[in-house]
Amino acid sequence: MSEIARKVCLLGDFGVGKTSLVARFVRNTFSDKYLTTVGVKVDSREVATAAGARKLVVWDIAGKSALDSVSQSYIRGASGLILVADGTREPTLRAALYLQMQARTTLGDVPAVLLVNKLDRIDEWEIKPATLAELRKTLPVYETSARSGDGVEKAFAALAGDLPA
Amino acid sequence: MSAALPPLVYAYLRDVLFQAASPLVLTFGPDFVLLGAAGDATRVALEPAAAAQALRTLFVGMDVAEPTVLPFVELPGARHAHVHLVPDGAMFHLVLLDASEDLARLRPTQQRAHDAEILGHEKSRALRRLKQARAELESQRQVLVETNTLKDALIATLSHEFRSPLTAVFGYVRLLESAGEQAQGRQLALRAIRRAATHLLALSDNLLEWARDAAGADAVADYAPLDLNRLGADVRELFTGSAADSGIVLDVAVEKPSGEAPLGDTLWVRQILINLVGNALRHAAASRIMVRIGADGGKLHLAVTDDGKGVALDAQERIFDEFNNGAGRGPRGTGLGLAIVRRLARQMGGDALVESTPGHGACFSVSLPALPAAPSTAVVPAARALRGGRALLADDDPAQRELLRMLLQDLGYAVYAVGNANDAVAYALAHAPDLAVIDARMPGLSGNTAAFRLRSQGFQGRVVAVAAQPGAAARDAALAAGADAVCTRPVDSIAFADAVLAGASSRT
Repeated sequence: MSEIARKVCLLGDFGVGKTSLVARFVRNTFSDKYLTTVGVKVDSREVATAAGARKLVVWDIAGKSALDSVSQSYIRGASGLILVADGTREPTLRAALYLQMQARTTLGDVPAVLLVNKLDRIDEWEIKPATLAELRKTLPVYETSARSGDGVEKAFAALAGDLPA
Repeated sequence: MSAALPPLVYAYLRDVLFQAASPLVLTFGPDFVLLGAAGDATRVALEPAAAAQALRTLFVGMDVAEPTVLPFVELPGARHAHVHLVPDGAMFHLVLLDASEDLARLRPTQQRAHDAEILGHEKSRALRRLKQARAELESQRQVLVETNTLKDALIATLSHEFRSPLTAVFGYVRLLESAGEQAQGRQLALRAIRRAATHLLALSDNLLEWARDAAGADAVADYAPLDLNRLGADVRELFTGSAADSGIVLDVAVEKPSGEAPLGDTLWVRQILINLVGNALRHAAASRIMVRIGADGGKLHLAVTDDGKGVALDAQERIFDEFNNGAGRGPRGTGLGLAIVRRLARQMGGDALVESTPGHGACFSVSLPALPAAPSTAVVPAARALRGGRALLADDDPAQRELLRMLLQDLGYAVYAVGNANDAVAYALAHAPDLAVIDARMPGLSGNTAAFRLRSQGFQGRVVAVAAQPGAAARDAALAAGADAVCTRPVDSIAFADAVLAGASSRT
């Protein structure tokens, strides 16, 4: 097991694009078909950071608006969180922030980034730019598109850079 | 529980459940060193060594001294297992139970539930949009109905307005024919005909101006030095007879310009004067009308003052609206005269105002600003030009980019132009320009996306989106993304200047 491997968990409501984001980040692929995730899928990829190479072990956890006991067991040992919301569904932003709050009871105050996904459908977004401008004061926020890849690499790299050595 | 079961049943159930679970057990020592494997590896389709490697990755960061259950873990090869960690002193065991059957039962149900909820959300959104579209259509329908009503009223009014002076003309022509050589009768008839013709001239000029504006034609002032004495003489010639016939004293004073001669469109200024004096004659119920034409440092000042009944306070702003019909000042007219006065004044960079105390007359004034010595055909009102500042321009089409660059430079901006949205976002966040003009549809990252990113990262400058097509959907999308104003192609220079300099702030 590598010394520099760190576990990070994707948390977000269902259908926000967590699995697609991981597919884009790890394999640089995208599928239009929505296939619900059951349980958890674990992938990994090495990322270069200012502190050197780091292996991100990415837990793609089935989408929920709140953490149940099973999800709590999934996130144990995580060093960072990737919160994911769908820009076209405003309630998923609230869900992502609520999930972060719940995860803190298990993990403490670990580094986190918020990915607001589906940037390729910006004309359908319900989340307002002013809302994200406000959130940015307390949390790194990235608008992403798993479809085009826009913002994905940057967001994962940002979290990797924030993880403890 | 097991103690309560007959030993034979307990053994039977253990065998059945064990066979159904087909566990693969991997035993690890310190540092995740694989010590041994037992059980059925075929159900999870992994060789113990491969499974061990996957599990090492799976348990990164986790405490292996603590019993753990991880249901539905997707393993390499897309097989699913329930993973149980069983600590055992310095060792620990990882038990993999095949989850394929559980997954086959659970996934379709979960998929249907999620699909239904997402579809429900999209349906709600579609219904909201439909409702909004219907409201917009209803609003447009009401505008059309109102316009149609105004048009009908205008036609009815015009019939009357044209018919009255024409009837007078025919009447006095007959009088001329029958008056023979009687000088007094001829003079009377000619003055009446002149009065009627003057009215018809003003009426037709106003209609032409209104029709030009209604057709959306560009208004381009033909600037030239104004001959104030000539303008004054025109007013006297056109209105002295009419005023005298109505018992009104018309006093036209032309002040000697101080400084350089004012510039303006002579025909437009003449029409302004005709409309203001005609309005006073027809509506003011005055005994005296004073016309002042003057200039100061190149600025033109016109004032038409009467001692009539004045304008009610609540009507003073509406009086310049189209079809306002005098805002209750008197007999109906076309409802265009004062509206055209203000429009022409504004198209030359000035404005028209009214000051009145009801019962004590009214003063209608027009001021035009001084213009540069060698004015071009000022497409952009001079008073609003030369705002200055730094502008970012993003458009992937080089020809459109150059057009917009020229328009922005005409408005006084120093322009930095880019050809894609990524460069636009990077520049705007690094240099914080006063204005960002962004093509809403660009290949790759769209202009709306760029606007959204700028706003969500706190960009405070004005954002003007340039949409490829007109329509509420494109406009709403751009405004929702963070634009302050939206222009559509082909870009109209006046509308663009409005959007850049003073467009409504509709951002939410």
